[in-house]
Amino acid sequence: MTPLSKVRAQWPGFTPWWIAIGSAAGLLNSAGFLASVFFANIWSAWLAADIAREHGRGQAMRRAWMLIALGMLTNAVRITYEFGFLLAGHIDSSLSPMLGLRQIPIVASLVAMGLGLHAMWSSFRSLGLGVKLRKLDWALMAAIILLIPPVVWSRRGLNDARSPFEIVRYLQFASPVLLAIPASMAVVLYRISRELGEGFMALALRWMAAALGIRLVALVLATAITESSTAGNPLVIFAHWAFLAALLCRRHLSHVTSCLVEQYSISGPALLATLGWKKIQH
Amino acid sequence: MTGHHGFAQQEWFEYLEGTLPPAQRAHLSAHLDSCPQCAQLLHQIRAWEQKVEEEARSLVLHVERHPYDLDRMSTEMMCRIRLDSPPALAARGMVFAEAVRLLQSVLDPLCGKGAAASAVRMAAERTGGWLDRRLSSERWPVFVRNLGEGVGAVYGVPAQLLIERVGALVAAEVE
Amino acid sequence: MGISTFELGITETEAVLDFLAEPTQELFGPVFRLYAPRLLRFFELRGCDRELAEDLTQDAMLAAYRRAGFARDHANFRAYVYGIARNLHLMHLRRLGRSGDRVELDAISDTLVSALPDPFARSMLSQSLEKLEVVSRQILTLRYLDGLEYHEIAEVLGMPTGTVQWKVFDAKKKLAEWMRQR
Repeated sequence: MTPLSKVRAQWPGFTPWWIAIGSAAGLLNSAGFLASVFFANIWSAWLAADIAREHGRGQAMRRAWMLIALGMLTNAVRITYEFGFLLAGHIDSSLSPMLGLRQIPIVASLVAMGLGLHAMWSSFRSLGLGVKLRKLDWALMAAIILLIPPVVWSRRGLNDARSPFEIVRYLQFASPVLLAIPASMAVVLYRISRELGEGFMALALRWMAAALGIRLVALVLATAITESSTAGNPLVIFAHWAFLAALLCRRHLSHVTSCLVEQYSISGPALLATLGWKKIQH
Repeated sequence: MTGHHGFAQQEWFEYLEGTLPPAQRAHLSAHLDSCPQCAQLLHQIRAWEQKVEEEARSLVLHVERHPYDLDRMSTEMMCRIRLDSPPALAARGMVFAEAVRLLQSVLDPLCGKGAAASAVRMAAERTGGWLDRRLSSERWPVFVRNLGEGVGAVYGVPAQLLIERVGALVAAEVE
Repeated sequence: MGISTFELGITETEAVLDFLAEPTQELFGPVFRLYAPRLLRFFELRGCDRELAEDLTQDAMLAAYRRAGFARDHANFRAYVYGIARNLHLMHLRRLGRSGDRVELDAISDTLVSALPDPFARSMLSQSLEKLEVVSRQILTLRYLDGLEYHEIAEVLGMPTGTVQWKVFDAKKKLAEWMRQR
């Protein structure tokens, strides 16, 4: 078995299963939805922090993963906060204005995510990837930005927009704008994944791009269908679990690489021979 | 044309090339006289060959329409040979070019072919040499270190360790 | 513009035999002058401009000089040099992130448009190459454009001579059938 086929053999094919299980659990009821998203976020935060530790101090990629972990953790904190209100029977922020304060972690999470993805882009640029974007990419990014004004406008009727707290009102309008930044970065990540070709990192970036894009779609959908506040829930759940899938792919890359290091340490010359390397004496 | 007409593909090939022994050639010619299907196909092949050979000649003449400066190239070549290291060490230069390809093939499935190619190119630039021309044995560890750092910055320490491990193994194998 | 063995006052076999018997810089001179034009043509036909073709030719010839001991005998020397040239060209394309097969086909097609008297007539050669699978295309290119013998093509591509001959005949048969159907 060559090192390459070992890499392939170790691929567990877990991703679709996790997404299916997570999504199914989240669709049960409001509590199930929050629990599913919370679980996905906590797991993602832990994985992102773990991946960050693989990078040296001061490296852009370490900063990227740490910020992503922070974003996920903040989101988990927000969900815990909302869950407390749900348990107390207050699911409407017009009845309990304190629920509106969830906008703070929401915005903090989006800022961290945006900064993290930007740091990730910088890191790829150092390897000559994602340097040039195509016209289609720019057009997609422009389309994402153009989506934001109507979304912001239609959110003026939401409870958090009428919160007695001034900061909550501002942040409520800022969150769609801040969500557009990671969604635009999704376009960049997808372009980089195409440049990478195959491999676990490319797969991870594709899941990440899908997750970020779907979150934006979910927001637009939830804004458009005002009759039902849960209209975008299935997409939100999918987005969070897809992001987790991305991190699992990235983590798996580290696992496979570590296995290969071990294999080369044990039987290096034999593995080199499988790659067509012939010893040449001088 | 082959098999069911009783002649091997090799015989048809040699007939077309004019290398079939006379006895077999006569036998095959007799078949062609009695088989219009084979005769027509053979005629088409010859027509194709004639046309393609004409075009190939035009193409070569077109490419060679501006004369090559062989005197200058020859002088430059001899200079490069003189400046080059002793033959035994110089041969190692080619080995390292192969080693670079090997490192890249290790990285391909992990990082993606695009990233692996880009990382190798950037590491070679940082090392200060065009891959197949100036990467001497002394520069190999520097190249490996540069490649490890470049890939490690994006893919993490395990990837860096892998490159350093394989790089060291290759160096040991060559020595 | 190539250089003939007549101009050198030595045959190709003599030049190669002399060099392989004693691989010195002096004896490499005639070999270089015989092979450099062929390699320049090889690279230019595959889409390299003159400057790049000169660089790659120099690299290929230097590699041939350095590793003269790897050439098995004079009969295989041409295949040995073309093998090095082909590897260098593939490496060059790999650095650019391009597929060698596609580049070669596009370059030949483009050059044919300028080379043929009627630029609007579709070239038989490029149409034929487009119809074939990669290996057969490489074989026909090495045969008709580079003028290699079948055993040399086999050496360059690392396959048995019988396979090369089989693929050539198969390709010709396929193309003849295609011509008939046109």
